[in-house]
Amino acid sequence: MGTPRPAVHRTMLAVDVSGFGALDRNVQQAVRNGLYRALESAFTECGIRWDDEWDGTYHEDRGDGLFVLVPATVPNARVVSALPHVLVGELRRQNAVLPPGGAIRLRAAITSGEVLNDGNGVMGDGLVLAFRLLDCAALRDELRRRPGELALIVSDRFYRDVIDNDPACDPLSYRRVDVAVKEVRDTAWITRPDHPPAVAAPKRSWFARPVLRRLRWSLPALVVLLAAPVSCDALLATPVPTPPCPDPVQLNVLTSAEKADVVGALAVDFEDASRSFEDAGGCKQADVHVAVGPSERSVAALGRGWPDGDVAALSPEPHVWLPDTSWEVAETRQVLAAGGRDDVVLVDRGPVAHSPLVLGVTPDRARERVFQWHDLAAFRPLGPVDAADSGAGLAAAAALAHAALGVTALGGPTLGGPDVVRRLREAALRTARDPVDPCPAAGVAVLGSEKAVRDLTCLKPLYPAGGTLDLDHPFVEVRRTDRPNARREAVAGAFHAFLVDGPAQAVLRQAGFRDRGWVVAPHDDIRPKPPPELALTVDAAGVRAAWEAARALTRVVVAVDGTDRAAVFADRLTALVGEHGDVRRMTYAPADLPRVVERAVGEHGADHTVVVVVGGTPPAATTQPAVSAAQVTVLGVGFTDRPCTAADQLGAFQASYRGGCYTEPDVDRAVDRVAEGLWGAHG
Amino acid sequence: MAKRLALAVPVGFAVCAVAAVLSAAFGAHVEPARGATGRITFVDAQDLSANRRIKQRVEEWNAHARRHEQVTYVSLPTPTDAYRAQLVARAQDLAGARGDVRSRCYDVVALDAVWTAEFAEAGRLAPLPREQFDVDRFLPASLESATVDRRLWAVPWRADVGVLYYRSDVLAAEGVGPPTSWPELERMARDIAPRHRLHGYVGQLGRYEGLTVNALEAVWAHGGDATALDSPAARAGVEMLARGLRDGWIPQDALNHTESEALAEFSAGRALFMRNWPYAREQLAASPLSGSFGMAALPGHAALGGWNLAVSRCSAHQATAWAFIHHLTTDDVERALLEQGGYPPTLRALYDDPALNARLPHLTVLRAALEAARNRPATAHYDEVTRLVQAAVHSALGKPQSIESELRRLAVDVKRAFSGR
Repeated sequence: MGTPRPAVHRTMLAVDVSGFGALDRNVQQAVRNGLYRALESAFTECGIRWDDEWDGTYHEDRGDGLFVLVPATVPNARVVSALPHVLVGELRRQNAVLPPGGAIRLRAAITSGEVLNDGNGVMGDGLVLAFRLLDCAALRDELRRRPGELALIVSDRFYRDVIDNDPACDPLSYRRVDVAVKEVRDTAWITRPDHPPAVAAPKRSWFARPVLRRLRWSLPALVVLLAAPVSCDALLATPVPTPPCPDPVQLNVLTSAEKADVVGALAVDFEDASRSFEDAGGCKQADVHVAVGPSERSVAALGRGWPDGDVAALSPEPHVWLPDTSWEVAETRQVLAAGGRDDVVLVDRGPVAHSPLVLGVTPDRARERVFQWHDLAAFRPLGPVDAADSGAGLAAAAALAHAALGVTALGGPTLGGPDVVRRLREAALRTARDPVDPCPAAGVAVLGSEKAVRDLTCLKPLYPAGGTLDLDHPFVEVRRTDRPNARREAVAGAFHAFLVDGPAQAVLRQAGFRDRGWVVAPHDDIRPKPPPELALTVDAAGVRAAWEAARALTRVVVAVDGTDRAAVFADRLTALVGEHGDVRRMTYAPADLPRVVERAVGEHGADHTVVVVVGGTPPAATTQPAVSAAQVTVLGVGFTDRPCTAADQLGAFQASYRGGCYTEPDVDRAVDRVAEGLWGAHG
Repeated sequence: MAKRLALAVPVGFAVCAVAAVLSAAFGAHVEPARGATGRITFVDAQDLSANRRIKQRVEEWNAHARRHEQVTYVSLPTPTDAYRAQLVARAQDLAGARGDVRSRCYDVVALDAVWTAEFAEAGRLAPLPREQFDVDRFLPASLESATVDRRLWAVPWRADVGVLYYRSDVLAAEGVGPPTSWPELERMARDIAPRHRLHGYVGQLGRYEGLTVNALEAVWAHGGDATALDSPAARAGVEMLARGLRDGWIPQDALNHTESEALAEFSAGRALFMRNWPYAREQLAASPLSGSFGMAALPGHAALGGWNLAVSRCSAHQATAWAFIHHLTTDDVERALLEQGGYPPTLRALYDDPALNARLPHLTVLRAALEAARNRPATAHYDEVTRLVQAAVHSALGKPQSIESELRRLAVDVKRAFSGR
């Protein structure tokens, strides 16, 4: 890639032909040649010799476009005041002879900064910035929305240092945009040398002055404009009165936390883009409010019609809902149907993005690149998995349940039963209870979306060998049958069209999602190919209930009678409470059994569940137990026959307290049954 | 119709006058909703502490009102952008609606004074008969915020105004009083504060609505105005803030400050001056700084804030809505909100009330601040205007060399935004 060169300060131009990739290969070649001819002619016409010298107009083809370094001897002002306009003329000249469909429409970016050549290629922050700007949604959108051959973006720094101070550079023809591409979050400035902004007519008298100022073009611009009949009309036209803008439609968007940032940025772009809708007359058509909603609460609120109480507690009534998964949509439909509500209708328009569930691990554990679901237990500790908070959490809980139980239909029926509850509890114990920050180096693994793991720069994704769950990010329109609003439906439809269109899809990719076609922005650790899908049926409400019960914080007093079996039982139970709660052990003499609950409450409080274990032969309930006034849950366990009958002490507890009583000679099975009592999703 | 109204309107309201004026003003063309009574919903964005006070007033109404004129109180203690989004969406849903669905109308809404013009111009509000509300009772600037094209669209309810808090102990030790001009404030912040190891001045320079307010106050102080942000006067205002940041009498952190961070800084005894709203006074009085701070009018013009009460166009029971608004803006209710909740009233007479002044000495300061207060620009596109101002001023304060170009561009952008395009 050439001779190593030390760092020098240069101005650089990066360009990319819009839609190049979609062209036929022969046309591509013709377009490429045309582009080079146009650039060469334009530089020459501006008095800048076109060569390939390091100190001259050094240029290089990159996968995402090409860049030209401008000789350090050329004043920056000449680059911006003259070159774009001349380039437009040259592009038109080339376009006139290019094959049909091959007309060049160019995105261009100008920045400046240090560049060097380390022998492997040219690099520098300014160059990176130029290609990021070239890729930003605002620029793509600008070229898409309006006709013309060239859309130029310059960095904020360049605008301030060069353009803003020089009337010849026509600073007022630029509009400011916010750019968020990969690591770049900045302001930049866009201009359309061959398509100046539409001129708004004055609404108030003092508006007249800037209209004239906006059209103050530099000489080369005028030459180009005069050569183009359409632009001439725009230049010479006298403003005609325009009607006042109608009230923009309020569009309230509820999104999952995972998409909050990118949806917030896209909503702003959409508001801007709405000015260019057909018949918009330059007026903003939509005001978008973006709120983030926790998954389970959003489902519940939608299911009850999002009354004012939910507006107060959560966010404005949503018109568009962007959850992580379609399971949440199905869950909401179930709630609506169960409540007999037909005033809220969810229209699911399909995915706006995808993100597969992966396991994020520290680099030292990432050599294999894959893992097996049934080996998930080896990756301990896992970060917390909260099935209520997000769809991603719900998917992680479903995957953990699948790994623990081996079933593919995850719902109420498959998630109950003593043995199942105990295994879910064991799976839950392998996840952290409280949020942990995995970076820089907490040593935890994270079961989450590919996007989330990609954001955690300290972890690398492992893909499950047997396929994985897809967070399919559906676009859901929330319609109200009692107050239909056609304008809003149209705007919601336009927002959907905007999100699935190329520029927004590119923004979603840059944010770490896969686009609708499963394409992902290149990344060393991310597999370009979509992972196979793990075919699970997920009943969201059932999974949430089972998982959240299984990972509950539990406080237990286990009362044992001194027998070995009771001690073994207590050990097993203590292990199952694990770090998600605490266990107090209390030994009682058989004769004191009737008072054991009262004693437990007295010593530890009523917020502990009391598990009373009778290892030996239970004494008959000669006296009724002293009933503690506190509301306490009591689970009785007896290993011998019939300890739970009313005539026995445990049976008497059952009659007096909420809870249950289990007769189970096998210690393991007894533990399972108590586990179900403690961590089963009741009701 | 007079009879129906007379039966319907609760105690304490000049019923016959309403009916008579209604008939006179609208004759046979009275829209049914304007004269109609019935159940209504009242929506307010108040924070939880204030809730109870306002809820009490609603309960008071309900205790006296007839059953069919009961008011449902909906408190939405959400961020104001979420509150606004809900109000706008609901109004749009019900525009032109007929039948039962109108029961979902937010009949009476509390609107941020700065939104009132937008709501009126967008057709979300029903105009109010000026004469019914005896509008001369209100502070002129508050009334101005509720008036568009000389029509009344809302009734001023709670006023709010920027004020200056200062360390009275420090100024006393220096033998000076609170500043009466911005140059004086700047001098004290620059020279006196460091001697006492204090920041000079904190305000709200984070990128949100507070920045628009603080910037406008600085611009007004130098004779500038929102309609010409590229004027030398406007630039002088923004440059003063930038100078403060550069010279250090405004701490760099202030670029992230909202009301609460500024208050935390001042109440922790780390700043000589603070620009904030009157609500901060009670919190300071309960802090260790109690007795060591004073409150004065800002030098120059302060921004007017506050909340107005309006009737939604979708309301099917506007006569009840009017009567209810009248109830909330009576002398008694505003007095109670001032004494119990610390809300500056919108009624002029209360500022002259000797008993109130005896109990609340700061009323004189509020009065002076309110008399000099100005409204932010009244435009249907305020939202866009303030977004542009925030972006440009925040960027300019961070890069002072760009102030001129930022403001030049901002002036163009703002003028375009005023047109909605």
